[in-house]
Parts: sequence; C-alpha cells; structure tokens
Amino acid sequence: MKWFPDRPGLATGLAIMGFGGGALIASPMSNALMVLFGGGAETEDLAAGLVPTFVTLALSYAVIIAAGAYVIRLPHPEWKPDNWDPSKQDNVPMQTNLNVSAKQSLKTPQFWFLWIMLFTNVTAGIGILENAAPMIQDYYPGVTAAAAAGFVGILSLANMGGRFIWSTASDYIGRKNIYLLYLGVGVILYLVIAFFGGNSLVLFIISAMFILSFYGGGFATMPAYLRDMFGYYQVGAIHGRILTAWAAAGVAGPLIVNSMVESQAQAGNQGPDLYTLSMYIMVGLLVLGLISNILMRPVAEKHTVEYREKNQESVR
Amino acid sequence: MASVLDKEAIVAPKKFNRWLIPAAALAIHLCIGQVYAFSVFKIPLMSRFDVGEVSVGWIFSVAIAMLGLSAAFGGTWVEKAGPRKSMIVAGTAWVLGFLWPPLVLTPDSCGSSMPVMVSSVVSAWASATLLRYQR
Repeated sequence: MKWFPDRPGLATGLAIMGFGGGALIASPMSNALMVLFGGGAETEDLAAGLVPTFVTLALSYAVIIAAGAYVIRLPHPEWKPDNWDPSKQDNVPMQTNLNVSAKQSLKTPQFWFLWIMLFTNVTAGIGILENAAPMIQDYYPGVTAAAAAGFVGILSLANMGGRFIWSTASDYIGRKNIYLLYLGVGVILYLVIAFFGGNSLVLFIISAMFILSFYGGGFATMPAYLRDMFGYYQVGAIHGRILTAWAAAGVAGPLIVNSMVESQAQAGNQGPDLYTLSMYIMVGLLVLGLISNILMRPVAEKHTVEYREKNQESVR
Repeated sequence: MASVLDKEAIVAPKKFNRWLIPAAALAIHLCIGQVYAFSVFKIPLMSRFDVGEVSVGWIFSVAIAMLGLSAAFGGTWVEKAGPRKSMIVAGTAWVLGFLWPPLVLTPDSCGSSMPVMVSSVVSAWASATLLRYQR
C-alpha cells in the first residue's frame, strides 16, 4: 500500500486478485497432483498421492515465497510516485464522529452484536467451504473429484468477488443494510439448498456461490462497519479483537457440518440428507446474526473518548 | 543478526520500479490461496487415515482458528519486523506445515497421524495471516 499512495484501490484490488487467483489455481492443481502421483482418479489413488503432493506444494511454495521475499522493498523515504503531488489530493473528509477506545468498545453492546454477526456469517460460509468438494459429490454422485475441485475454485472466486463487490456496495447503501443482505438472503439461500439443492445442480452451485460471496463480503465490510460505529481512533485494534469471532467460527462451522454429516451417515442417511440438518442449524445461526444486526444503534455517547475526557475534567 | 532481513536492508533506491512490489505480493497471495482449497483433500484424507469427517475437519478448524488469532494478535509484530522478515518467518512456517506430515508419517502411523496433521497445518496457516498484513 505504501507504494501506491496515489492509487490505494488498485493496490488492494491486486492483492485480492492474487488471493482469489491462488485459490482458483490451488484446488484443481492439488487434485491434479494427487492424480499424477497416485496414478489414477479413484479415491484410493488420490489418497496414495497425498504425500508427494504435499511435498511438491511445500517445495513450490518455498521457491515462490523466497522469490517474493527477495524482491520486496520498502519505499525510500524521499520517494514519491512520478507526477504525484500529495497536496493536490482531494482531502478525504475526516469523520467528525466521536471515537471509542478499543478497551471501552468491549463494554458496548454494539461490539458484541458485531461479534455475533461476524461469527454467524463466517460459521455459515465456512461450513460449506470446508466441505465443498465432498458435499457436491454427495449431492451429485456423478460429479468427479476433478469437477469438484473446479467447484471449490469457483467458490473461492465468489468469496473474493464478494469482498470486492459487496464492500464497495456498502459505501452506497450503508453497512447495516448490506449485513441485512448477507444474513437475510443467506437464510433464504440455505433454505434453498436444504429444500432444492438436490434437484438442480445449477441452483446448488449458484446458491453456494452467493453464500460464499456473502462470506467474503461480511469480512471485507467489517472494518468499515467498525469505523462507522467506533470512529477512527483505535479501529485497527478493535478489528483485531473482532477477528476472534472468525477464529471461533473456523472451529464451529466445520465442526457443526461434520458432526451432523457423521451422525446422519450413522443413521443410514445418504446424499443430500446428510446435510439437511446442518443447513437448518446454519439458518438458525444466521437468524441470530440478523437479529443482532437489526438491534444495531449508534454507540451511546458515554462510551466515547470525548465524553469520558470531558467527564473526568468536570470531576477534577 | 539476520541483517538482510531487517527493514533497513530493504529500503529501495530512489529509482525503483514499483511494479515489482505487486508481483512479489502476488507471489505470496497465490500461495496462501491454498487455504480455501482444503476440501479437495478431504475425501482422500478420510480414506487414507480411515477416519470420519469430524477428525479431518479439525485440521481446517484449527488452521482457521490460528489464522484468526494470529491476525488478531500478530499485526504489531509484522509492522515492527518489516515485510521481508515476516515473509521469511511466515513462509518458513507455511512450507514446514506442508512438509512436516509427509516426513513424520509412515503408512501405518495412523493413530498419531491426525495430531501431526493438525499441528502442521496450524503453523502453515499462522503464517498466512502474518502475510495478510503485508499489504
């Protein structure tokens, strides 16, 4: 970012593209490597190919990352882009809003509502993401492992696209409204998969893509939502704290879906039936997140740095 | 020690092609995109270790948890250490994460295999987060 003070959007866009592109390449490549080393496309072959695949990936990553580390530089202190004059930049209007410190933010209900919203949104998205390849093959047994890997790649693209598109949209329609979209339409999409996911492959894929785009969007919009609520003062630190919701969701999402799948399999169910119950749980979670979002109000003035300073002075 | 890794060692000359920087960042991001491809390994892993969804799912869960936690708490260090040092540290963890299980595993060490997998991917993903702060 420091290298592109004149074009901050471009720098972020490139980073997102790299991550998305990496995910798009990684799933088919991993699958192809397993086929190559395992000597076939059957599950046993893929399993046999796991070890050489991991080694190959490790070595390629070592080379690529080392090359990146070799090239990376910090800008010279006197450096600036050609033909760029910082004084001519449009001054982004500083938000005149009041500010809340990171410590104080934990005492506001808004922080915990946002925590729940991120937790439920990520849990729902990641539950699908972690299961994407087996899931599409359970719904549609005709789908090969290679095709499933393509599906995983597409989901990653949707994830990245969502970060870009929805967070940009939130600048225009507002954070609260965009989260109504993520969580509310998310509920509908999960119900669509639960009821009709096994009927139409196209419907299944499109619903999953939208869910993943909301997952990405939920991530990308969070810093802006926090800034709206708590001001610029310590928004970075507050964002760090809210990311614990992501960590918790990373455990909860896969755990919910996987335990449901295992228990349904033991109960003798198969195909889409393995997943229906977890879809309902996700719907329940998303409703909880939706309620949290609906309850969002501006932070009470007593929590702001400005109010607390004034108050201390009057006490003295 | 390790001075080539320090921030001071990598200040660019005044004339420097800045388009090399996105290329370097792109290289990293192309690697860590692997995170979201995890589910491709799921069925083969379950078959290989003869375990269920939950056991394999833990690998991803712990990894994402590490990713979230190191994003929450690792940002300050990355700022202080500068990009090259954090890329090397994180990249090493990332690569070891992939290298570790194949080195430790033998075909019949199934019992101990899951924790090994878990811990390995943990280090891998911890690094991914550090790298996210690059930009």
